[in-house]
Amino acid sequence: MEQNRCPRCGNTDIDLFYQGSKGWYCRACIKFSRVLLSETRQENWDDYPADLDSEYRLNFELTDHQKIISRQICKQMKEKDVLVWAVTGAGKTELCMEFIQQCLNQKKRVAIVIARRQVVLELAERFQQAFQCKVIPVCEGYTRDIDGDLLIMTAHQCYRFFEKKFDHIIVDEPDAFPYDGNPVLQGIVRNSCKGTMLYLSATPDSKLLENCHVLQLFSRPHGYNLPVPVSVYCLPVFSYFYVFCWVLNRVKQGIPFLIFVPTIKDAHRMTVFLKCRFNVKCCTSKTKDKDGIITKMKQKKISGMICTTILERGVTFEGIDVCVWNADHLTFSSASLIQIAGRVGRKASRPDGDCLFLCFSRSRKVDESIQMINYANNTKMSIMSSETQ
Amino acid sequence: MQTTQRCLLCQVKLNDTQSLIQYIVKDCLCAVCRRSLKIKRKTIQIHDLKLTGFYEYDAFFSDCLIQYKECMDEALQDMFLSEVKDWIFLHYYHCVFLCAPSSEEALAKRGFHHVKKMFEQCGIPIVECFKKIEDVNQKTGSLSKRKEIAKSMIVDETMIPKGKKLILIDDIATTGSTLLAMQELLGKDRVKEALCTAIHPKLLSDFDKRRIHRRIY
Repeated sequence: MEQNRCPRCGNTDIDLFYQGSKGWYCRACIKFSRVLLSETRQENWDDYPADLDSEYRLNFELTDHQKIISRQICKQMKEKDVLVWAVTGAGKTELCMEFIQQCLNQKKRVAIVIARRQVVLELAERFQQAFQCKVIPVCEGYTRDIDGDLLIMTAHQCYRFFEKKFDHIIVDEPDAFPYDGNPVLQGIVRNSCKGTMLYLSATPDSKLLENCHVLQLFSRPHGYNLPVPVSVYCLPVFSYFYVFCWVLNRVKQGIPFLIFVPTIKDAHRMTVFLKCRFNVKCCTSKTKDKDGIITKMKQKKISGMICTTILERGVTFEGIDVCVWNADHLTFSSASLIQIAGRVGRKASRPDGDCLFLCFSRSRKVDESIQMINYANNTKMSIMSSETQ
Repeated sequence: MQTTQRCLLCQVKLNDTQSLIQYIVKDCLCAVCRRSLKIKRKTIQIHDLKLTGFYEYDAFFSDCLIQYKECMDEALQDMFLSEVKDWIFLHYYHCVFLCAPSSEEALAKRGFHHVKKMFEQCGIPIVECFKKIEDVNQKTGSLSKRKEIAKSMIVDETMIPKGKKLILIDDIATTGSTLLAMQELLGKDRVKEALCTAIHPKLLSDFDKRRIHRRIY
């Protein structure tokens, strides 16, 4: 074997190497087509356009906290990977714009990697409005044109760039599926970058916290605290009645709501139960018209939605309340509970709101998530590196 | 070829995930993947050609085939037909397999002949006597297209051994056009049978509805 490391995903497990007719290749990332271990070619990007207007423009001004973190990103990225640990709705996207502008000024190639395809398209639109340069989304259905100044893509699409390599990569929500816990995807993204990486997360894992400079931003632009969830313990048989009363209260006050349940089966059951009295819809990974239902919810054509963890991140509804039914279920991790709680109070028009964790038994994950939100409310902002932790 | 301790498809460790029979026959897949690859031997008659397929062509099989052909995962060569190789040997030990052609470009890129590699484990001699001289889109099975396919390949008669029964082999029969074109090149009296790993459901439904015999050519 010429070398025992995959040039694309960085796999070193020899059980996953195979000697074919053309030589040894890696089977860990074989779904992205074969890469021989001997392939070490480095391609260059096309010449960078000389006159590029790289300055970004926003319709609003960043808060003082955001400005400090933004400057710190530019400074710290020269030395080491940086993790921006910011609460949900803190404006993580806007925080990295100054850094992107700096990269474009220095004629460096930069890419943003996101877990979900829908978010890629939304973010590409937002970045195109902010930057004058050519912003290209690369995801399923958008793979023909991959030559732009700023690329925004899903993690899977990074396999196209392991030969060219970016100067810097920004990974949004590295704790989200499918990037989280997938060494092949993580390896592919790592190998597509020759410089340092910037991670943006509300719920980072210990590995990221250890290996990066950490910049914490625990305040939202409107300045209000994150709504702290209330955990209620009750017997499963009474839980439906409790949810019914909770929904009735919301409907009376005209507040839209989301009810998170652990499984698709539970979602259907809860929908059948609530539908007899309220105007609600169900949204799970199996729902065909997800976008249509979300739009109806945004337009307030329905009172609320029953959903699984599919809507735990990446979606913003104005002025909603949230209930997590069976919050102690295995499906919900403390990270996902924090993300769910983060759906509440995102807009300045209603910066507070109710978040209810309905549990059948005492759960450490529920307690941890509430502690974490309290910690975020008390901290607001801090800058620390792995050495100082 | 090296032995692997992991399932060729899902890459879990094989030790705890195989049935006793799989362990004895040294299967390269875990129990879950092996169950997903469904054997469904079907024989149909397309015009003058008797065609046999061995697996059900479903999404799982399609994904496996894409990984093998398009992603060039040569390790999967033994995964296909491993359960039916003895049956093939017993029925065709006196025959010679004639391999469906692959384009020079694809062959150079892959570095191996995917059909030949699949059938090698059966222990029957395989002859690569067909050559593609140009690439033709085989998605449609119309008469004109079939003639185009026949025109796009040549046969080297000197490579075909005398006195042996000839069987055509291909990875998948989507419309049967390639196999029929191969039969046409050799002559209908010389070749009457063909094997493939799976028959496309469309072709099977055509056969079930007996439309296949009404196709005018």
